[in-house]
Amino acid sequence: MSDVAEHAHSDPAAAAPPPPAPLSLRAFGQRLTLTAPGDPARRRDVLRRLHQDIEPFLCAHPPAGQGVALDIGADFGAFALPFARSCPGWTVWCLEPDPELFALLRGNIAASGLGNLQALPLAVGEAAAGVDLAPLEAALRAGDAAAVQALCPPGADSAAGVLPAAALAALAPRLVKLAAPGREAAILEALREAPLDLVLGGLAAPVPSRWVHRPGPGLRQAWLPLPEPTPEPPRGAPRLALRRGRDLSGRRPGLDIVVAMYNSAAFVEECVASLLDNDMPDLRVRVVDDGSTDDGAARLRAAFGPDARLILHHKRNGGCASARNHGRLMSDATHIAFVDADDRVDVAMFPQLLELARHTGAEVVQAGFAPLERDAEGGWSLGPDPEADMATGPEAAFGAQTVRVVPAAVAMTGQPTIWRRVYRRDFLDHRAIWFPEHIRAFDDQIFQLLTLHHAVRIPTLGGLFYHYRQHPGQDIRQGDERAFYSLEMFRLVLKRALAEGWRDCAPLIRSFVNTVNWSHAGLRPDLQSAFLIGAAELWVWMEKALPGWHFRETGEGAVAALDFPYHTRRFREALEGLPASTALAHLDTRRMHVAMMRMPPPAPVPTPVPLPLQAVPDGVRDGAVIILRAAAAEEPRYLDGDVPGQRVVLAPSTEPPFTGTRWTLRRGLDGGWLLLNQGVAEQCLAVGEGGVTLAPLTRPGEAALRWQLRSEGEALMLGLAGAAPGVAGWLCMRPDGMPGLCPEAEARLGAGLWRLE
Amino acid sequence: MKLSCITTTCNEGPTLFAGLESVLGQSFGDFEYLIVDDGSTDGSAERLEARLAELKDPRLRLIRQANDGLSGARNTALAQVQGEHVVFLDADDIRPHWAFAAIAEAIAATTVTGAAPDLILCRGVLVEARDEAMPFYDAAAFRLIEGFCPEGWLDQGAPEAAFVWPLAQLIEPQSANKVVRTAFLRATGIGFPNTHFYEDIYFHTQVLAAARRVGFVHDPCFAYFRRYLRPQITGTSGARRFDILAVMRLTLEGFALCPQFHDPLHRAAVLASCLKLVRWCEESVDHALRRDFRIAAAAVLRMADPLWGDFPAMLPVEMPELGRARDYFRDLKEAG
Repeated sequence: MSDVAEHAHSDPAAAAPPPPAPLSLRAFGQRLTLTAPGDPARRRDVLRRLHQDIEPFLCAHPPAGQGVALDIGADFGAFALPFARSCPGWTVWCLEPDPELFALLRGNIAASGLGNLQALPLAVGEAAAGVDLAPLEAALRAGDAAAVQALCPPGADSAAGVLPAAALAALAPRLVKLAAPGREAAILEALREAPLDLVLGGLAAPVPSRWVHRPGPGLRQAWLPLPEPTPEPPRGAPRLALRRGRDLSGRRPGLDIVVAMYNSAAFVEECVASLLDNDMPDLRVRVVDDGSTDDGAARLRAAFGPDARLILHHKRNGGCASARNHGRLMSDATHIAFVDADDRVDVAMFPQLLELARHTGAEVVQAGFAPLERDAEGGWSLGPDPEADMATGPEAAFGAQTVRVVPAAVAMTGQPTIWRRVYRRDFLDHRAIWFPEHIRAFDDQIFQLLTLHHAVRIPTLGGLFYHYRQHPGQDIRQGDERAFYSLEMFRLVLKRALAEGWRDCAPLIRSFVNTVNWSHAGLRPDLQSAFLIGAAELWVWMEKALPGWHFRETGEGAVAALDFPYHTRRFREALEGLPASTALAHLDTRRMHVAMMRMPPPAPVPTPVPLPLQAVPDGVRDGAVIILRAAAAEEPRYLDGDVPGQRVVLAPSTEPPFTGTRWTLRRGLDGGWLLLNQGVAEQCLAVGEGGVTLAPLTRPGEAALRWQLRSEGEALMLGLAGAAPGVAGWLCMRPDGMPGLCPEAEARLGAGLWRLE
Repeated sequence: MKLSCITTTCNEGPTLFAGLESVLGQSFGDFEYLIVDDGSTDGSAERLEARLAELKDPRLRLIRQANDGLSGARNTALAQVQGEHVVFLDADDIRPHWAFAAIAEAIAATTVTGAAPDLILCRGVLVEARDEAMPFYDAAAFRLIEGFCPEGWLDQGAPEAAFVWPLAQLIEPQSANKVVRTAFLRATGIGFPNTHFYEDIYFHTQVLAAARRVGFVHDPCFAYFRRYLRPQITGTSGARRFDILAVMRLTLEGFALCPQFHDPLHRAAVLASCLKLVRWCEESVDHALRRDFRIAAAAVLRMADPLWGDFPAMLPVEMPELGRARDYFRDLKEAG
């Protein structure tokens, strides 16, 4: 780090630790000069912590107008002095056991002229047995530093006096700054009922997070980084720091483990026992009984009845996804996990995952997993870690465990293992990631892809395992129509990836190919072809929707099934010439709907009488515009709709252009024809009481409007058949020159013959 | 139990109880009413819980689930119904007090002569945003059907079925106008297409094609409201409009497996009823999405069975939709 003030006072030529020297610093809106130890590395470190950890935290979580601050391990006052000057309403108690540093601290306080600081040359430790804390607490409350010091004699392992941690609460501090390696847990526990708003400083090792992650008193906002690993942590590694921001969610700080249970009585006790075998009060197990017909719930009540951390929920059967969602809807915790009722865990796994979640803030943290298999003696034993070979990348210590970072791109391509993870509830809600309830198998695949993609990097605990029980009858081994759920889920993820603007879809494509290969290989032979066609269709949609570089790692050739390229080619041919578009990801096919794939083939139906579309006279077609000319007349006579009187007449036309009516032929549902008067909309040739007339087309089903056409040589006959009584017959030219209906015999003589023009 | 009525809710706001109150007012009482709350985030589910607790009516039941889409919610309910026939009602639409009685009467009238109808289609009423109530969009089709089928029901295979089935296909696909026999649904496996809106056309086409006997109720049995208070789910101009293309694909694929696919008139009616919705969506979608909409529409038609492009040479005058569909089909298929 480069700092002007620091360069001005350091002496790089000195071999021995240089003597204390003035150090100018800027913090919390204050500028001041303190006397600090001369070692340049130490001076740099102090400034780095101040500017990288403490000041940003206080900037984001400003202290209230007044209160008591407790600076444990105050050093020469690098935090306490600028804080006291910046917050004149506060009283700052500084504890520093190192005599040389304490001397510097006291000098700096004196030089500052500030009256709101108290300095004590004390360490914080355990109270000696039998000591009465009451006088000490009274002295602390009275602000009598001299009396406090007198009441704190040196301990066995300490030259400086020791202030029992238990007495600190008497100060009712709203802020504590920790630089007390090894004492952090004891101090935080002692302050569990103090109205702490702010907890900062640093930790030498992870401490139980429950002293910070609790509803109150105080806001309990914290930033306590663990020592940075040496050498440099790998890129992208999470900063390990016990942290807590302002809680605006109102959720209970803690972890709810949702156990979806459906007829798992044989295993669920073992499962829940492994989840509850810890001393974490903020961990709860919510068993959701998804309409089981066995006695799993009763067994749980009998075995764990008194343990308030076990909560039983009952619902009608709706599938694993609905049970998991139900548990989530019932949960009020900040963190959530989903465990299967027939599995079990290393007892430390979930407590440590919650600690890791709270020390990384990560959206998703995970542990290892291993198969729980039937052994030769008929018991269950843990198989090898399937990820043993994948454990690449540097590990960092995290208490007794190790932690490494798995990139989402790697985790996404593996099999779904959503049950070995702890999720932040606000993350799941914000990203709207749920288990899709209509999907009754592999519903965890979409959950896995979406959570991992959005979590980006997954802090992973080493050495603790989820025991994943392998049954011969397990869902995923059936090879039935449920495989098509996978296609639907990849369609849904593709749609989201496009809508959410995923930068790189290569892991998604790799995961898709892995799933297609895995599913196809185990699928019932009669379903394999439909599955491949569905997969090929989705592949072509992806090609149309995504630029080619997303396919750089995984091409079509990675699909093992030999027919795959044939099917993709067919879809490409069908879509040839269509521009690329993300819109294709909105399409769908039956092969992505298990319910449709399971539908029995439609039964044959009684064949309805076919439409009488046959035997249509030449020249007659639907929509044709015609003129009807009486074939037998010597003079041209044309059928003319005289609209004003709604009359129909036979009009002579002496000269072109023809001025009479043009008729539009329209085919009716029953095969009959309507003759629409083209001059006037919705009027057509009909038969009423007054003979042939025009009628509005209000009821096209009416028989008196429908004409049958019959060829008679080169001419046509127009007839009404099967109509109402009195209106059957053929359209004729009557002797009086008017159109009318006449019997068949008369029509055949010529009066009823018409030509189309 | 005669009837099961299904309502799904998702962030219904002020119109939450409109449908519920109208169901409670039915003159016919032998029914169950299932409400599936599909992951409301506006407190609808809690309000329903409170109202049902207050009513203490054993016929009413609320099922809560995480948001899975309208189709998924309806399928959840379909899996649980116990009535002999199922009806649907949107939360903000209502049924007149005679609706269930008229439906039960139609079932009984049909059953006298044999099996209960697999499907009954009912007339309805449309209430415009300007508070004008009028016969529903498909009144003309119902009038034609009434002419062909005065008894109020028809079996597939009857001579009139050749016209009545295609006409019924052209009736508005929405679910409120349907009464479906539960055992028929279970046997055929027909449900709603999960994850999509504009889901009704798939269900409508499938149940109609599979139904052996269809009945018709000419009393209006529901009122469909267009409101400003709560926008229609399908009234968006956003990418949700693409759902109609997905549903058209499923509808065309499903119908192509049915024997009626080889009846040119029925086939044309299915295509026309799909394309009517597609055209509505194309004309409503954000202009920024229109190019993509046409590309995806073209893709659906190109991937479909080529027989869809084969229209009857002569189209009946009563179905002007068919001619319009033929022209739009050709226009869309060449898009891109």
